[in-house]
Amino acid sequence: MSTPVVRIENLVKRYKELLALDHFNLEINEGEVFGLLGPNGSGKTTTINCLLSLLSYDKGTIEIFGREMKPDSYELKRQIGVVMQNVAVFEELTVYENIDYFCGLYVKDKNLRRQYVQDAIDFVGLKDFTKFHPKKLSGGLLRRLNIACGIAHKPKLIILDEPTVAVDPQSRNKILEGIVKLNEEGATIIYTSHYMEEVEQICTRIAIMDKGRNIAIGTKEELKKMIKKSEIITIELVDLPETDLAAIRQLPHIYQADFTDHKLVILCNGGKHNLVRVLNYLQERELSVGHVYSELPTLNDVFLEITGKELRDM
Amino acid sequence: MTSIFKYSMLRLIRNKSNLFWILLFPILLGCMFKVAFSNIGKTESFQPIPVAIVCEDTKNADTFRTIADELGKEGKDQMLSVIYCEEEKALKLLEEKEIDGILYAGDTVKLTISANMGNARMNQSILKNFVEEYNVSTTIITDTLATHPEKLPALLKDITTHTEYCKEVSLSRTDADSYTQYFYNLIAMACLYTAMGGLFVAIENQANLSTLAARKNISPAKKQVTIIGELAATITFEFVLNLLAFLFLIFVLRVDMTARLPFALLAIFVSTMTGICLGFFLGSIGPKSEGGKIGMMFAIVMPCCFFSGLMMGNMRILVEQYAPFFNRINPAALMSDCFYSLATYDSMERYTRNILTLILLSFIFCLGGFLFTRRKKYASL
Repeated sequence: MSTPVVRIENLVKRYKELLALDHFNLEINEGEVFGLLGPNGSGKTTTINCLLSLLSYDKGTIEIFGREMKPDSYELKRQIGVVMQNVAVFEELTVYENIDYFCGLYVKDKNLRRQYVQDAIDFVGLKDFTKFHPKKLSGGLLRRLNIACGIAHKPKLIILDEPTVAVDPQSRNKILEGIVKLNEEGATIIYTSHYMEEVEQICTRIAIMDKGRNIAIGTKEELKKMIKKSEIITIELVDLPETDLAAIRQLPHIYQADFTDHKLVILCNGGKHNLVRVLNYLQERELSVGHVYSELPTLNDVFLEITGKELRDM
Repeated sequence: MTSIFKYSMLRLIRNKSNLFWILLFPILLGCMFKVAFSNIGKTESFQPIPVAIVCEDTKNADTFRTIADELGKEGKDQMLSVIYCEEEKALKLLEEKEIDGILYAGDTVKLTISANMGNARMNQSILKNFVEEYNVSTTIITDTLATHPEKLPALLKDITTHTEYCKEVSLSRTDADSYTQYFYNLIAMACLYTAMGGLFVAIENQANLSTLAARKNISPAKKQVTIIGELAATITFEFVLNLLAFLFLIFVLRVDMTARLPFALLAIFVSTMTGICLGFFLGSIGPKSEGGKIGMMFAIVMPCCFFSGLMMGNMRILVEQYAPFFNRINPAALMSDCFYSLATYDSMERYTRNILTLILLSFIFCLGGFLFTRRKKYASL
């Protein structure tokens, strides 16, 4: 078995009284798009900062490409690209100069660097803005510049810390497509976010974090299998007698059914054709049906079931 | 390193607030000094003394009139501004303070002055001495003519020849104006305030203070290399601005600071370097916020400038009397003293000592800054 790109064992990090990382463990393999999902304050950015040797930690070991990560691990750092949560570019330099500056910290050869910078500009779609200063760019373009500065040197491991915060949907899609493309070109990606839709969309494996702990890890399918809920059915009804509600609760694979505000919400734990079975029952009882929805569980449902709180509301 | 230097220079050049604080601020302050000190110079220049001469009809009065006319001739040696009039008009002029005294020319010359002349006391004293000397000389000549007429030529030669019994010897290289010291202090202040540039180099390389620093810290570029590149760019840029301010003082404001110009330029370079290294050191230690660090820098730099004499010209002399060691380590005093010693002393010993001390301080500040920032992990970001 090949060495994991990232291995974190028993990582403990305290901010005075606050336990930010509580014996956190993680392994990320080559070629993965790994999502670190969790609400704000769950320890995602702290994990990344410890991983990059920016933050000191109280306990644990961190290895990247099989070697211990330290502040002077220059060879390891050469293979890592980071897109910070906050945009970190120089206001006085143009788009081209910013990318060239940060690429220059990794690549000494001027000709190679020129090529890399051009590739990065093409990759993020900033070709028409190379002579612009950052303050002239929109929020989305600024985020793209931030990404270009982080990946221009063609790293093997790319860490993106909430790169789509405060970005319009068009730019967000462009960024997500870019991340997938980087992965296809061979980079291993670590992607932190509290937007579960993004994580579901691009990540091949996901770790869900809460209070500095890794509470669940796996592919999105594996994570969803961890919970009881497999389908959520919502049906609008004018009225539903208590006896009918009790009868619906007795149908196969239904473990919860509630009727409030003219809405019948049914939770199923597996099985097939649950929606058809419920609709057949309602038809037999000649109950008028309005809108009908059937949803599969989301990562938010996974988080909700494991922690008892909503991921999106954090 | 060259890339870091190049882009640091570009950033400094494009930051307009740099131009104001480093270049325009000392120039504006220099202009204010010039205006203030020009007035001091004007009040010190000699103005002819306005006098009224009331002549009696005597031979001696005619002689005195000839001498008074000579002393009242317009030119740079003009001593008197003479009005010939009757006594009544002369008294009126004296009362109205139009003149500083009345000279009555008869057999002897007599002086009348007003007791209520306030600002004209100096002129009154000059007139009194002049009248006394004239009367004594006239008496000696008259007596000699009567008793030893053969000695008259020798006597006249003696009287007309001014003999100095004391010789004034300048201990300094030049007769620099006393207020030039303020301009030395101004240049020293400008150099020391470049500490702000060094402070920002430190801030932009500490991951717990800026995201940009965090981005630099996670790159494989060694922190020392990045910092040296940025410090070199800052020193170069701020040296050029300080040089421009210095040249403005010399060539536009005509402040006499041209003594040993190459050494003065070296002093500006070394002083700029020390200022920036001081800022880098202060930025590497102390409070964990940009505002706190800037506050600490001002809290250190301002007193240094004060004790070097920027606000009070004789402050450095007072410090030399009561705490001489502080003058040996105060960067502002050392910088100011570099220019002062270049202008004042033939020997280069004091200048060299100051320059070497500044270089040593730069080294210590730089080393301290590196020790505080190298290979550092932060407790929080």
